[in-house]
Amino acid sequence: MTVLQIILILFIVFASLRTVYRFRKHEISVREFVVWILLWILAALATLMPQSADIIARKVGLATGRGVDLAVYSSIPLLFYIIFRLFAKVDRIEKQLTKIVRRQALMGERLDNKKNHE
Amino acid sequence: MKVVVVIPAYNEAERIRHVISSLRVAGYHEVVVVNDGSVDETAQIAGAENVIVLSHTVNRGMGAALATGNEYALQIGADVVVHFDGDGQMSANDIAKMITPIIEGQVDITIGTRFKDASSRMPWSKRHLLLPTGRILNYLFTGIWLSDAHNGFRAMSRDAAKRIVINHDGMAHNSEITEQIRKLKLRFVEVPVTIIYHEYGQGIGGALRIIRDLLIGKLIK
Repeated sequence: MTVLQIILILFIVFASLRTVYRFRKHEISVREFVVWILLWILAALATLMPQSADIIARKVGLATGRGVDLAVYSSIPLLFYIIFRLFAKVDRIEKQLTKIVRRQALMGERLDNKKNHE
Repeated sequence: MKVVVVIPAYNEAERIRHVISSLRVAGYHEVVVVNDGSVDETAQIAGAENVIVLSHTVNRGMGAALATGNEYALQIGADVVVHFDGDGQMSANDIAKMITPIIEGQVDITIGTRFKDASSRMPWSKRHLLLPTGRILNYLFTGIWLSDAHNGFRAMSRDAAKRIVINHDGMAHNSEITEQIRKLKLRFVEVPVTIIYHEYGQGIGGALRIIRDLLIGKLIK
């Protein structure tokens, strides 16, 4: 086993434990738990048996036929998608925050007016 | 005619008193200061001047502050809403020129411009590089050609203030308002105003931020 494989396996074990922990604390749903665990199992398999990933890479039609390349190529669109989702989410949260802050500012003024009239 | 002047203010403690008193001298007494989460004494100083102060608990940006000001101005029955900067760059004496076409019913909204009259002394690079680029981008995004796309001085009728929705919290609201002028088919005119530069204001970094906000705004909806 290479050093890289050891590091990756340690990371995968750590990530899996975190997933189990979060599932136990009911922070993630059953569906999310299954998806993540499957993902980590696949990652572990690909790490321990790099050749297995190569077979898939060749099946999908990657000219180089290397599993590593397949992993990199498929990660990029996934990452873009996640970033887009995050952007949208942050934008929504910012708008909601502004709404709350605005309401509070307008309410504050109404309270001040009442005080002055009393 | 009830004219309400909305001043978005973020850390303007040094200048806000002067701005408010200049408005008073020019005859505008309905003043709403939107203190946008300032960490200095802006709110206290403005409050002492006997104007209405609305305070954002945290900083939300100029667009957000203007939207809050608009909402309040409509609540207190404004016929005309004026957007006026809190940093003393604009002249209160120009307000009359800005609101006259609205009061006379010729247009729904007026936008200040630094270009139709040479009296605004601005840094060379801002006049000849930054703002012309902004004009082109503003046209591309909004479809309206303005001689001065990012002049924050504007006045609008009650009806226009009701219909214009400011969604961009930051500085992109200028382009956003222009876009809505076109979409809502509002009648507008550019009015030459004098802007006094104390400092450079928004430079390249600010310009890039506006473009980013506009692009993200177009993507996410």
